[in-house]
Amino acid sequence: MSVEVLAEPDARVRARAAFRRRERLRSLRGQAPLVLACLLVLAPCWFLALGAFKSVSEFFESPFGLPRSWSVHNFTDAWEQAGLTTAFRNSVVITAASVFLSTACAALASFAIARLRFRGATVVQLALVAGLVLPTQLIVIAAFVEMRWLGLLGTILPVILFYGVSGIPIGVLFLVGFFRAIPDALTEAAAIDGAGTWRQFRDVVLPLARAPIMTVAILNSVWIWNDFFVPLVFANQESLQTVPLAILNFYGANTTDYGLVFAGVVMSAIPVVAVYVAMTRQFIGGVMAGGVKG
Amino acid sequence: MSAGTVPSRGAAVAARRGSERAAALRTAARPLLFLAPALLLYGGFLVLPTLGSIPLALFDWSGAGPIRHFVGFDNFSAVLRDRQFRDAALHNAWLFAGLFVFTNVVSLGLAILLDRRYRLRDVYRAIVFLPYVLSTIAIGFVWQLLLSPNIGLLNPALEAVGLDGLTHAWLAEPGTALWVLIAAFAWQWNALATVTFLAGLQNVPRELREAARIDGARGWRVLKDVTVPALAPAFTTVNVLLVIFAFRAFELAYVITGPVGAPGGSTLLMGVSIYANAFPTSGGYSSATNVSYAMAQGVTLSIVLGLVALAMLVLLTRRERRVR
Repeated sequence: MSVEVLAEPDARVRARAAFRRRERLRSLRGQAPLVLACLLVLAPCWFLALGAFKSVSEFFESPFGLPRSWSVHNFTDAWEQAGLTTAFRNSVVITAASVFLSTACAALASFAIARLRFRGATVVQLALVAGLVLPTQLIVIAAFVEMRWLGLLGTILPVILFYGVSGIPIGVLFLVGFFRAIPDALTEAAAIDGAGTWRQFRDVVLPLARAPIMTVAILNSVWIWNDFFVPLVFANQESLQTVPLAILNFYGANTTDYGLVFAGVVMSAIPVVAVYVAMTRQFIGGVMAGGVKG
Repeated sequence: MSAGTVPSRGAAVAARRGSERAAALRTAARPLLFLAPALLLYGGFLVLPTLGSIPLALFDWSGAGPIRHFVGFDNFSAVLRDRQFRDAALHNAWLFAGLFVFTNVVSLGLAILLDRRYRLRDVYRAIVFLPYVLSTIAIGFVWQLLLSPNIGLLNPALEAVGLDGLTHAWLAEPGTALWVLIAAFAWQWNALATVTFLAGLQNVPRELREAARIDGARGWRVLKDVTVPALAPAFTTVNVLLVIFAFRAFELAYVITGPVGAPGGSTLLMGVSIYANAFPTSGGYSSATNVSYAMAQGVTLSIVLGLVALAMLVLLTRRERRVR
């Protein structure tokens, strides 16, 4: 009897220790591939960031080693030679204007679809989201012809308009669901207080949907900031270049001085990576929310 | 007297009816007012160009000057006979196939691991998702250099472990160029695929998996019989996104192997071919354009993309229903 009583807790302790050991092994076994994956992601970034400080000869001697000196002259040279002052200004203006345009349009349309009862709301919603699957390569050619006909080529307007339109589908996809989730009682209370539809949108719905609107704006900003296809088509002159395009053209002219090109690439990535590091959770959470819905 | 009141009452009724009608009109117009900016932009710069490209594809228009010769479906039959474009379609299909295997093995595996509780989990997640925020230009340059014969990473690494025989001029040989290009695409695509799977996993109740493990199911069985079936909607999302990604692919290929799909067109993708036909490319390549032909190519690509995406969607949704 007493032996059994003593043996039982002992066995339980041993079993628990074995379980814990197994769990720790499982954890290690699971983390090994993750560490490998992280290394595979970071190695090219490491190569890029260090390369920005190297001269051509250093690249050949030690492509992965630390640079001999941490001088910034690659950065200043690249900034000047690639014309990055103009390019950064264009990129900031284009990204800000087109993100504002697409977010505003998407928010207004989503409000109508989600909260104003009218026939055909579902059709409008589907039509606006369907833009996600149209191939850009096809639209962009006809859009180019259209912009030329409108006399807009030679300005940054075609780029802003095209990005503005391209950002609408993802915005509608995201916002309709969020707007629907806002309780009717809130807008009804505002209506009793005499708020019209516009006031209900501006003062009740918009403030409550700040987080999803931010997510949409961030997702659109990232791809618009990084994209070079649209400016490649619409902004083929130096004064209209965005940062990615300026670097692409700079690379075309300097295929051998890798350090300079890398310095340019690093400078173009800094704004986005900085925002990403500061707001990792919102980024990943936003993309996850989009994935569940899409 | 009565004659005086009747018209005035009638007028009041009419006025009330009129204001009611005006109010009804205003209520009906309100959604339109909110929809107007989006519909105008969307109609003007997305729907119109899309619809406009179909008639333009029926002409023989180089891109400048007047649109004159109507050629019917000649461009389309030329597209179908175009050896180069058919090869490009094949390259897109390989890109899709390669990424399909990669996604449903590597990205899914990473997502399952990232769903567990580790102390460094958020750091792992942040790093795995990092390629999503890097520009294609940055990714393209780095890959080009990593694969170059003199600087690269791959060749020195192979030499270091004594596999000198396996070194290649990866991007210059037709036999290897497409595969290393696909690897670069995988590096970029993995971030979105993993996070989408991860989102799906959050909807798989943890208790379900824990219950299966308590019932004595080992890791592999839990994965096969509990996790993967519950992931069915995420499979649909990821693989439909992948069809769109693989068949619309342009940027990374353009940066790494250029507008002709070097070497010798062995990495040419449909998107790159369309671009090269529609716009004069710099750098010594042909600058003759054939916009109508490019549009016929674009319409063909849209149809192929639409069909493959639809087939994928139907197939996977049916599977989803069967699994449940």
